[in-house]
Amino acid sequence: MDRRQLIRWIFGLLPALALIGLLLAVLLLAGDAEADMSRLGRWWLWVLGGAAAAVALVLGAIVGRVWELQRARRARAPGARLATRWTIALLLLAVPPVLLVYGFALRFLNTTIDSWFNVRVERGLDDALALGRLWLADETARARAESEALAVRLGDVIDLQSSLEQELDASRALQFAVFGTDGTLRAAAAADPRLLLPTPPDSAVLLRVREGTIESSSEPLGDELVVRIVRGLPPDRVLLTIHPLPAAVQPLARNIEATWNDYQRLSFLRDSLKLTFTLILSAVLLLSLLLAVLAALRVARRQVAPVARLAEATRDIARGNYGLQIATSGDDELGFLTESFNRMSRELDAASVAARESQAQTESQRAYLETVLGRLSSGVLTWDEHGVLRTANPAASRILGVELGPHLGQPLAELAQSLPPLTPLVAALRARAAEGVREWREELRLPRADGGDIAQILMLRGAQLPAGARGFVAVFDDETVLNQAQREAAWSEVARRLAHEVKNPLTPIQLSAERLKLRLSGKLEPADAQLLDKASSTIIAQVEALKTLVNAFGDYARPPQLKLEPLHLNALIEQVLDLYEHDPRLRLVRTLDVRDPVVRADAGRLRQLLHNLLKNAIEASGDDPQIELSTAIVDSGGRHEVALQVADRGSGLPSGFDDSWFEPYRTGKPRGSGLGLAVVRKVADEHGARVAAAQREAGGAVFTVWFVCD
Amino acid sequence: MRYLLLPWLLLLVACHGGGSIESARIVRLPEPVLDASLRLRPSSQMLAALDRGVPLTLRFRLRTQDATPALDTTRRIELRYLPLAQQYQLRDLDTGLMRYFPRQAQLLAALDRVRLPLDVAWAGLTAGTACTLSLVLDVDALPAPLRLPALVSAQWRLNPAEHRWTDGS
Repeated sequence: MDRRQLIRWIFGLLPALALIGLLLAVLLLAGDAEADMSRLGRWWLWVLGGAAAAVALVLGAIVGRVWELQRARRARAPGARLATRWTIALLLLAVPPVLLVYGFALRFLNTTIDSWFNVRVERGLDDALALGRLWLADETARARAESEALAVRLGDVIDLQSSLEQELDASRALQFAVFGTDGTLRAAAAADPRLLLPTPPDSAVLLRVREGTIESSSEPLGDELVVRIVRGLPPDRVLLTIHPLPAAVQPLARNIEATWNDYQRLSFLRDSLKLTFTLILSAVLLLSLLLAVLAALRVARRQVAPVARLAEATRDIARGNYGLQIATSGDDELGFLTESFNRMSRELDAASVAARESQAQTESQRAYLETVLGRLSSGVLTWDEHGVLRTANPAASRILGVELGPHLGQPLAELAQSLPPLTPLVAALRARAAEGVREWREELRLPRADGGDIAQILMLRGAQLPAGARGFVAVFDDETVLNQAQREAAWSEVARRLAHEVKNPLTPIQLSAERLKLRLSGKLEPADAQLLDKASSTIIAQVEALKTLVNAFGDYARPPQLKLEPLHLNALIEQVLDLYEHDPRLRLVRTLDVRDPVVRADAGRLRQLLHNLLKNAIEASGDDPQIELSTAIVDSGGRHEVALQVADRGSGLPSGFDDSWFEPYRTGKPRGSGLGLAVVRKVADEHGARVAAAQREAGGAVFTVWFVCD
Repeated sequence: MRYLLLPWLLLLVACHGGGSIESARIVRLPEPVLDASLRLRPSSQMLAALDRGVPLTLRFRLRTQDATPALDTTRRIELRYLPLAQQYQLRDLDTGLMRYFPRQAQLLAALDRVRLPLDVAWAGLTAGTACTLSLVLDVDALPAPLRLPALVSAQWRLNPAEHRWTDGS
């Protein structure tokens, strides 16, 4: 037990000690009052004060506990209300019987005290006392007669001392003494040692004796009663005689006097006795009530404590603190309840752990599914049986050209209203769901979300989700892209055939034209020679142009033999730009990412892509070309990409520019081959990159290629 | 219930005095004696109690003020009625000396002047010493049932004012 517990234990013990002290005080006071004793002597007031202090202490303890209970009630502490009800119930059980006993005891006490007094007894005692007084009067009269006879005999005696001694010897008297009228002793004789020194009568007695009065009285002498006679003795003297009473009657007289005295005193104290016993009974009542209140508070607290612990633990459980164990309180029903709670808490804890594990698995599955969906190139949509959109992967948003994330949880009907381009898709999804078919497949044409001319072709496949999921899933691909790939393949074939079939005759044509010019230039008339020279030069120039065109087709059609390796994109750009630095008209602005992005690419093909973009930008810029070239690492759906941008300040993109401009033989320039952007798209596709073109607000166009960071 | 209220009713009337100490002096020769003149007016309740066998004890307290050494003496006398002899007894509880009076009035008259022997130390009291004499009815000596009423009731209070004087010689 530590010091704090010891102090608490002592303070808890104080009310009990106070109650014991109060009980002892009440018992002592009751004993004293009953026996008409003064055992407590001068300490009785301290006992009374101590009892009052004990009452105050116990009252203080009660007030403190009640206040504590009240505070707990206000704080809605577990068990406080139940403890209050317990206390009130216990008090209702304890107080009425105590009050009943108090009332009966009070009445019984008063009746008992009254019964002590009886008129006949009182009269008998008075008679006994009167009889005693009569007997005493007789004895006094006899003593007076003896005293008077003695006074006569001493009237003319000369040797007063001797005469007194002789008279005393002849008498049963205890003392003879003669005083002057001023109280001075003249002579004395005593038969009792206690009377050897005669006490002179006081001045009042002497005065009355001088006036002729004979003073007689009975007085105690030790335990005995004696008769004392004082009378005048001529000339100018006073005679004092003391006479014994018969020894046989003495005890009887004493008993009569003591009994009468006791009875009278008791009779006088009757009301005080009643008051005292009433106060004592009230103190006992107070003691009982205080004890009842203290006991009720303590019992209530002890009984409610396990319930309070249970309530507190229940709150903890509600807060998620599973596995909490509380101390059992014995083998009663509360103990059983506590044990049941502990078992429930343990089971809840185990269930909670299992639920957390299950949740973690679910989260893992969800993350896995999200990753899979995020990496799918096909768009995936799911919706529940009520037609509410539940899932949309990034590819779905990318293919449809709208961000579907904010619309998750939205009914499909509302989705069509907020995104009108998706109306055909939503209608198809709802129709198939309503038909209840297990699986379906169809091709769907959607208007471009960005307002483009070419309709988007989606290949849509759908199915009902398993019974537990209660919903539908739709997977779709952008067939437009697939068609483009097919067209690209066709163009590649055309280009390859052109390169093969057209390029072969070009060299003989060129050689033939040069030979004709060489053989005939000196043999013809000047006018003819001039015509020949002009015609052969035209042929040679056009053949060169055709060769260039055919080489371009060859580049486009060449099957990719990539040598992919980590490549510092900024360095490659710098190398390519160095080739353009000699052109004084050209202004190049570089904004390259300082993080030095690295991509996995074929350096030659990437140079081709850069040359094409730069060439395209220079040709679009006219006489004052200013090219801005930048790289930046961006976050795209959780993965890092490098955005390579080439921007010019030319006339901008042609009207109706769309994806088809990346197909071969689409050009806005009068002398363009129509293969520059097609090669760019082809190289981008070879590296898994995306390419897009956009109009600049400040004028001009910007081409962006997004490479995946290595 | 009236017994519960009685103490409070008694407390309400507890404001009466019961006599005074007219004079006091210390007579040094041959033995030191307190010679005090009193004018006591015991209540009817006290006198009735005396006649009904309840002894009354008067407690005198005599002490010096600002004197070295300080002297403080208590003396008690008891009044008692002897019903068979029909005498009132006045007894010095410290010396045992007794006086008897056939009538209550004589007993009370005898209390007008009391002479109580003192300790020898009082014989050496320096002249000019301030002394104080107080007198109370000794409640502790009353029967137990009377103590509480006596504590709160004026009927059981002699209550003469404390008498102070400067001893002359």
